[in-house]
Amino acid sequence: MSKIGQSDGGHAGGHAMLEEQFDSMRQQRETGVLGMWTFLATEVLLFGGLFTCYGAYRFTYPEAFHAASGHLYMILGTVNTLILLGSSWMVALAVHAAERGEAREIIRWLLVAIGLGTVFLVIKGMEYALEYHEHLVPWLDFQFEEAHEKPAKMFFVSYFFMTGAHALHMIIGLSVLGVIAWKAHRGRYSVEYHVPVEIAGLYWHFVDIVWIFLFPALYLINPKWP
Amino acid sequence: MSEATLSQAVYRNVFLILTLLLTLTVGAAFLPMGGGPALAVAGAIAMTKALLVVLYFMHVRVGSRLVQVFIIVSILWLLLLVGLTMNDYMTRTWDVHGTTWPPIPVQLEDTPSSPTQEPERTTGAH
Repeated sequence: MSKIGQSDGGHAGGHAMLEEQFDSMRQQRETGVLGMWTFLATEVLLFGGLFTCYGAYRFTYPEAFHAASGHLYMILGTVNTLILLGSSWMVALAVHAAERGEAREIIRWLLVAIGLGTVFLVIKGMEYALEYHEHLVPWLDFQFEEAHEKPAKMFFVSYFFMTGAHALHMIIGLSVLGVIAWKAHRGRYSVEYHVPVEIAGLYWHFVDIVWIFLFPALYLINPKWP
Repeated sequence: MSEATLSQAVYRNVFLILTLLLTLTVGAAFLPMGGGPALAVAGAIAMTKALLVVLYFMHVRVGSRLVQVFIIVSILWLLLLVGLTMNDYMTRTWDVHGTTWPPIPVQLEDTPSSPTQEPERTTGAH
């Protein structure tokens, strides 16, 4: 029997972080990255289902969606989009630093990204509070002009499920970035081994992309200056 | 390790272009376009932004071919999900059963509608 794994040169002078099922650090890295993309494909379908629901109702009740979207805080949504794009930039710089083995730089950029992500969640929470006080939360004393009440409720069901699922992903993403920053602080990453930084970055960018589509779909149907 | 990398300047430029596109999409939302064109413009800008993030921030432009295949396949799945569902919803006015679809929004609340009262919503193909 041939022993494929042992015939490879990868383990001979192998890296301490090389798991035994891989032949080389390069193969280990590519497997990790591909695995993350596979997970992200399932996430595409999760949010795709929410967008499909939204799309079907928006097509069926265009006037109600137009009226309901006008009640969202477009300015806060725009600021949050900018914040999230900025945090993605910071994460890209953190991964860039990881590729160069600069642990301090990884930590610095990740902390800025975590700060921006936290500000995003605080603003989102403020929006939710405002919408609660304006009776726009379905099943919590929801009130809307009578002609559009039921389909407008469907708009807000979509809005809270989509932004809520997104916010949940943000919370998970912030935790992951925090762990990565801690491990970078402990000196776990190097030029040869930094695939966790890269994979965490992919997750964060994906969450950013979801918002890139959520923002115009929800906030920009009927935008109003405050 | 043979890892192709991008420079810090590339990331900064991508962020600046994303900011510009954000300004464009907010500005376009205030233009008096119809619902259809507005949706097309917002969709096109969002897809451009997503593409920039995928290609540069997520390194797909310099990444492995296999990852690119996975991404294209996941977009195809998404198109199947959204496309076939919307294909159904957007063509339901061809009513073979004699009932109405889509339901008329103002009648959701009060009057229990009977199919015979809205002959204009049925094509009566049978």
